[in-house]
Amino acid sequence: MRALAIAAVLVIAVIWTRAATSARAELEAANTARAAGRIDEAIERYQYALRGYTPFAEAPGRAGEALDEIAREAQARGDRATAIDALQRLRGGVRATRSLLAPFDGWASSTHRQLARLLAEQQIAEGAPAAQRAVLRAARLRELNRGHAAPLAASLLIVIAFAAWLAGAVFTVWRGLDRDARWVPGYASGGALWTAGWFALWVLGLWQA
Amino acid sequence: MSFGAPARDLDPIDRDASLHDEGWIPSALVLALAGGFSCWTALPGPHWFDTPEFTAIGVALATSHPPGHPLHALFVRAVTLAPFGDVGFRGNLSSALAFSLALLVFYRVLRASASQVPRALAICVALVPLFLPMLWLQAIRSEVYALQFLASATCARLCQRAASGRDLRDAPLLVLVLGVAGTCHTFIAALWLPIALWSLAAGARARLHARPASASARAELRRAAAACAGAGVVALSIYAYLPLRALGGRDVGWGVPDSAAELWKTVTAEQWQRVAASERAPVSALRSAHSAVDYMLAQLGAPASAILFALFALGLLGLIRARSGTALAACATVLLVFGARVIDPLNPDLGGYLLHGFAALLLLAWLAADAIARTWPLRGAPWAFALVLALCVARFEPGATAGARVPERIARAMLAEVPISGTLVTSEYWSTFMQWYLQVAEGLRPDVARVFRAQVDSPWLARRLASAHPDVAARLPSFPRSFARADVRFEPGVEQARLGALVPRLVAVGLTFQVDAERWSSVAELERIDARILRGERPAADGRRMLAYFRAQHAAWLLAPPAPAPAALALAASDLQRAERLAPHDALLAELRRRLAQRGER
Repeated sequence: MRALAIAAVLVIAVIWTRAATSARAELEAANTARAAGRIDEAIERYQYALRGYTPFAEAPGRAGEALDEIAREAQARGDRATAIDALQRLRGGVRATRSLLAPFDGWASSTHRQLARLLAEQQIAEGAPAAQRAVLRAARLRELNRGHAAPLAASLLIVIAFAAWLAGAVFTVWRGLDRDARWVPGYASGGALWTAGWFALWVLGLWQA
Repeated sequence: MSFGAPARDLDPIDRDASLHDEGWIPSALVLALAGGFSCWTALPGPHWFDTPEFTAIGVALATSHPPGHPLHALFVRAVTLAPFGDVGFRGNLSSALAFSLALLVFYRVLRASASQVPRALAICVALVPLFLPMLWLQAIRSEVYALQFLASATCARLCQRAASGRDLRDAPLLVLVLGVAGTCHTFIAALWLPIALWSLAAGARARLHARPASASARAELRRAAAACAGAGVVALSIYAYLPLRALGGRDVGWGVPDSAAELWKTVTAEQWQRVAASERAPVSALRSAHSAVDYMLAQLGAPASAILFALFALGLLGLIRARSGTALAACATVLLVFGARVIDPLNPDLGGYLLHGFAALLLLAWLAADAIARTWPLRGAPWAFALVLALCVARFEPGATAGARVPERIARAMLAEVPISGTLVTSEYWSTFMQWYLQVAEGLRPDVARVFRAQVDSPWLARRLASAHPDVAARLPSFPRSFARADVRFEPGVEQARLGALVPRLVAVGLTFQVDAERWSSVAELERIDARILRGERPAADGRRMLAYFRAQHAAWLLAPPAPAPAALALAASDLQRAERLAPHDALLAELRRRLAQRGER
């Protein structure tokens, strides 16, 4: 079993290296595109670099900063389309990298506020009444704050409870029965109780998520 | 030439003991090699077909298209909690991990089937699927087939054990795993049902044979049967996921299985059966069989196929003499899976189904090589597998990853054309699923309502849409008339005629269409969008086909009215030119070219 654990660690190391190297490569490509004035390509590649987040990697954080900077520069020169694009990419990267960790959630609220304001301005530019600016901004902000992903705590409960009740079912068969399919009372009842308990928690998690 | 002793000098339990003795190091080596390779080559994000759907559904813990795949959703959710890359990459990693674990179990099936063949060769055989393009594709993209392969390999291993009848706990374990497999992909698990039943019957017969006329043996079997029933109920309770998450994901998800009838429809995939029955044209079995063989040759290459065929031919007699249950089960799997290919050649997911058939073929070749080594003076026959692996590795090209971001860019480009608080009416499955992905993974454009045109008549679409965009859901009953608005964009796609009176009013505004738009996009604008989508990359074959198809549909919509506007004709000509570069000599494009000429003359 130790061999399997070592193999698992090796696989995790491969995944980490893959994510970190691709983030670095995308960051370099983004920097090149930005320097060459290909801003839309730079925005896209910065987001790929941001999305390549993995613990201890530097490139994703720098990519997030670059997107924020591009958005600010664009707003300063009145280029609303570029600012919206950069902020949407930043927001997308922040959301897409959420896992057990939420490494870029610090950017979320300011990004949402800026984006809501720019989208409201965009609507006004397209013909919405200017007097409605605050209402439009509030509506956009409400939408931006919503999400589709199942909540982290509920997801954790669901995943752990599922693994536990499935393992409990296997345990109940393997230790609760002997080779001739006779019940082994202590193991059988304990396994069954464990399975039922975690199953109930799993149902609860699915219902609440 | 004389045949030696039949290959039954080591019964299954002895083989299990030998497998136990070898420990876990070789299995761990398979896991490390397969896991390392598939995780390194995994696609970076969502891709064509159902890939974005399965990731989105997992992250939102919603329900995917029938048969619902609850086990897969739970598995993807578990993997997407790991902090590596974004959720698109993690969705693909879930398949890479499942595939690697499946190969580990496959290795143990191989060892248990012929434990006297050197383990290095079993490792070679177990790694072959990684280097067959269509099988590798199942390992690098978010799909149900890698997880199903893991379930199938575990079923195979348990069938081997249960058939011996030595340990009656194997029977309920087999039923448990089969039931769990059914909650990933009902139909592939159903293929295992006859093999599992046969294994259980063989195990029961072996029990009775060991102690004939013994009342206790019958009592043991009754207890085992009761345990099997219990294990089956426990496994199938995973389906509780579907009603509990019936409206999970709000407007992202397929169906609302919150009643017994809807649940049954989902699990049995009634919708596809209806579609398949209405669309299935008569197929020539001979032609399909030919294309199945052709497909197999394309995956393995001619030299590796020839070696495997030679092993079958030379080992056939030995296999028959050995009367190996594993060989019979492998034969049955090959026949069932490739039979499905012959009957239903147009199923777009056949690569996932054939994965199981290929694994069974390799197992059969493995048993044949073992039989040759035992019955002919050819002890080195199994070493042919080292050559098979080398040949597969030599011709392997990880081309499927080229242009991997193109589908995401198309979906983003279409979404960018929708006004704020507008509606995007999608026409294709993959683009609908990509929109789901962008909603769930990135929360992109929460102001836009996405309506899948192919399902506007399904009550579930209105229910799901109402949970996020009630005003748009309220307009669905009068589709398409109520969608003739300036804030609605239509993705081009099949069955445009269903839009009825809207067809002649559709104006191309980039990749999408708008009813009565003031101006047409220019060819230059369309080419700029195209350049942004491709970014100078040349997509893999799948990508080129899908892009060409997208452009063909765009052209078809432009050419649909009897007298298209001159701007539409120019755009259609540009579409066709760009599509022909990707798919030269295509029949659909030739037909559109003819239509363009006709319309131009008018």
